[in-house]
Amino acid sequence: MSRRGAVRRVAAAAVRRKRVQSVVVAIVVLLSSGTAVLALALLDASSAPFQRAFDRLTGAHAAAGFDAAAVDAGTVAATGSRSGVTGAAGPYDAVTAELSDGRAGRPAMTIVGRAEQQPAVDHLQLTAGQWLTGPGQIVLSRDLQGDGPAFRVGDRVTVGVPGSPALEVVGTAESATGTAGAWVWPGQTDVLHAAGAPRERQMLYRFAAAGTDDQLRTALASATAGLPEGAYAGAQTWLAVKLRTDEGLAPMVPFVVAFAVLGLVISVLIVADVVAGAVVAGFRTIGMLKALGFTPAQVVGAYAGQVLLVGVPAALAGVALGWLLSVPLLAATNEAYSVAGATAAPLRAGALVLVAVPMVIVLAAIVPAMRAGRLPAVEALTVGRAPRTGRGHRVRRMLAATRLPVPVAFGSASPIARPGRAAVTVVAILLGTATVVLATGLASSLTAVRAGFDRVEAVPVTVPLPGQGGPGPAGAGPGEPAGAGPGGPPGGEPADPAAVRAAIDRQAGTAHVAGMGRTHVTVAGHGRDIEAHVYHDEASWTGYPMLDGRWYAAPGEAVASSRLLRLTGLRVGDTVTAGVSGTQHRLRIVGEVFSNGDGGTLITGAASLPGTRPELFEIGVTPGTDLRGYADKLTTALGNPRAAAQLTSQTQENETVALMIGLISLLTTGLAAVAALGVFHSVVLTTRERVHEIGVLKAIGMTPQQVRVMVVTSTVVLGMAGGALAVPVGQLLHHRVLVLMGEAAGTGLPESVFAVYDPVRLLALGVAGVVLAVAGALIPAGWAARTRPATALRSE
Amino acid sequence: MTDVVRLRAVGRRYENAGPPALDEVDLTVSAGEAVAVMGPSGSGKSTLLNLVAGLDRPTSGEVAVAGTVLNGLSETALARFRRDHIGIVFQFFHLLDDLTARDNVLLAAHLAGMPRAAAQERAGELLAALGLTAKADAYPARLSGGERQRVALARALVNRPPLLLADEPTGAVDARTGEQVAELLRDLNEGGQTVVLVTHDAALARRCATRIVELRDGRVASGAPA
Repeated sequence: MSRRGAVRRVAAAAVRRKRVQSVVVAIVVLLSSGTAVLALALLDASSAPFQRAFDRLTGAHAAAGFDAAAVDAGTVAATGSRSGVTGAAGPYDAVTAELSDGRAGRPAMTIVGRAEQQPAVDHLQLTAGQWLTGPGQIVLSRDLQGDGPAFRVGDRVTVGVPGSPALEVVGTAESATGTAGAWVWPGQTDVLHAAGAPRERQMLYRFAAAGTDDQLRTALASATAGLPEGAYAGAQTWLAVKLRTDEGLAPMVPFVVAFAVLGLVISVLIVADVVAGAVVAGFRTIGMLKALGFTPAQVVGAYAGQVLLVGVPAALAGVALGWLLSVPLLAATNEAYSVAGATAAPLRAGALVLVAVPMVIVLAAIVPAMRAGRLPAVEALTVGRAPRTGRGHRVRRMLAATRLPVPVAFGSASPIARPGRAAVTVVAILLGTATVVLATGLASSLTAVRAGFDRVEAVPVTVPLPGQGGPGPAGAGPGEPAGAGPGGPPGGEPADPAAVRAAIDRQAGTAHVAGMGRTHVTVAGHGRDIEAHVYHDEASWTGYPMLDGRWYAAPGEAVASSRLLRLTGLRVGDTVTAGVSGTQHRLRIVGEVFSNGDGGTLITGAASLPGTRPELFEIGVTPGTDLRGYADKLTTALGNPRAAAQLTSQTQENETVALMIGLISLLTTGLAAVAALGVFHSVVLTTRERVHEIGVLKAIGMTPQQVRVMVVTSTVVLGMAGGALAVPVGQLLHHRVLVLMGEAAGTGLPESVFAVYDPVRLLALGVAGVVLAVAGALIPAGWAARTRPATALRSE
Repeated sequence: MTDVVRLRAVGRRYENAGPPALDEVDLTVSAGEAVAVMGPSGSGKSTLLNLVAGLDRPTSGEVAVAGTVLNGLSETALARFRRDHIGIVFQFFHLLDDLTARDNVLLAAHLAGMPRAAAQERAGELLAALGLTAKADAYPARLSGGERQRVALARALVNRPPLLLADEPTGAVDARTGEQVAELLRDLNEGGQTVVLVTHDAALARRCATRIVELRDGRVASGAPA
């Protein structure tokens, strides 16, 4: 047999002999590898496609809009040479207008006059047809193809500017950051310079520092410094576009990564513990191996090899498991967000885990294995034949002298004998329990997020008014659009808002009522429409969680959803020019609220944005009102099949939150199981090492039940320590992960989302450490209790 | 005279295919007797002792100690029975390294539920009687082989068991210490303690035992007064 063959044979024999340890290592490596693949899959799916496209197409860090009436093209062009600007394209004339083909229209979009397909910044990639060759043609952005009726190459479309010029669609193209909804030839003056149409100049920039919102704000301020007042209208940044692109998966990444890291750390601890235990239990074997001629390196190889023999197949199985789990997860996510994203974890994620995990576990194994390598043969052979001296004497004696029952005193002192293993067990319990603390906190926080979105406390009842251009009765909650599916609006005359309002006012139990209309506004410098909720009544009671500033109180004031501010780079205190049907309104943002809505929402009063009709009445009721009874009576009183009162709590469904809670539950179960396995393994090792002592105790009269109590007690102490430490660690993780999730989702979070732990819950979570410890100890405690004294006494 | 130990047709087989460790063994030990069980290695001596101590169970036959048939007892009942009726001294002492000599002795008393004050007094008496007062607070690692065996003896006797079992009690000590241990066992027996001793040291058997039982291949080969 070759030397390498001898090492392999010793390692393989150890794997076969130590089945429990091998199974524990296999399970923890499998689960942590699976979680790691899942985390990498989400990470990749959430950000890689955008980043790749941005790099490939030399995307614009900012697409800035300038008021064409306030600044000339030469001045705007000069901003491209300012300090901090590393690349620029433009200026291009631009106009905001709708497109239609005579049958259906597309929402207002930015139409840019641009001849170059691939300027220094923002290369456009054709996805169909061809690029512009002259006037009379239009190329549509691929990004907008989902927002309305699909126009095909060859169609003729009419631009919604005075004169309604008609153009032929010659192609569709992709811009990494969606710098325009469509492009026309620069000489297309009937579109770009149409009289009465809101005209802009567009400039595209790349900056030296553009990694954060603050850097982008600074760079834009530097580039546009010194321009005439009101010339710079605003900019759409690449971070805002990235946020919108990543919104589906990105919020999940922080907690899945947190779970994956926790899983890997627990795995490393358990692997180190397994090898340390194997070394301690195998001193005689080590001595014999050395006596036979094994070098220290070969001994290290034999012990690290035990882990590798189990770890590599387990990592392989874990990668397969993670890959399989990623398929339904990504499918569910794609379905939740109606996007066509990745369908499975990328191969490179599996390859990375397959290389990294075995490396990590071998590194974890080498440290304790080196102890075996360094151990002199004679010392190894004589271990166990002489009484041990040292650790734990004083503590054990002290506990023995107390009035505690013998099994409890002995069990409590047990961890002192192996402080290293006790520390590893405490950390495994800590991490397992911290996972539970994190998971329960996240589940509560997500419920609080849902409550914040639903505003069900403030607005328990709504009356949608289909036919006003607003939501139908099915699936609608306060301020949210609804479909008119099978449960959609029945036929009949549209309800009169004034009559509905009067009926609501008359209804006993009504505390507040506010009619709300919805419209879309364009904000200069930002390519897309923004949804505006316009209240026709006093609406400060409607329960939007305030994150900053205050509720609007006067005409010209508005509050913005946190997501809108993130997407546009606006801040509380900024003033925007909002365009509705060609009319411009100056709105000062006075507050930031927490609100649902992918593209962000602007909320204001009818005095600030006139022209809407109530599409929905939001109702607050007096305390103690029976909601179901109230809604039924109100529906009867309304007397119109197209105006029915509905309970907000029954209309809210949030697939994202449900998906996240499901994933959190799955990962928590897995990690808690891994932590319990860590405890289990630690107790198995300790019990095996102490089997002789257990035999002695049984021989002098300790009953099986007392042995069980002794073994379990030894972990209860560790569980208490781990649980106590896990509570603050879990809370800290919860806070950090939530902040990251909020950032990834592009929204600030209200305090109610963070404050989910009350003292009773914290106490219960601390006890979870003990539960985890006891769960891990029960099986080996049973083994110890059942061991025949004669068998135990024979073992050394 | 009352029988303290009664074995009837006791057999113990570890492997179905292999030969039995004990085969149809009949043995009676009366109160106050000191019986030495002798035989070559593998003859079944330790197996017999384990069965009498309730540390193992017979494959066939019946084991009774102090009038109680051990066969049907649960593990818990056996443990309780051992506390009250049996003291055991092992060849390698089997003291707990983390406890002092006194605490090793007290442990058995505490497990038996002896009141703490009474246990302290009894342990003190035994340690004094065995010449260990000065070593009462020493850990086993600091004791000589003879001292460790005396601590083990004190632990075995702390609950005043009707039966003392000794498994090769001089097997791990030097000759001089072995003589001291033999002396102690003889003194105990002369004080009325029933003793069953397993040894292959003929001199020890002759010095301590009132009767010698010889086992060969798991069977009683002879039984005669020492």
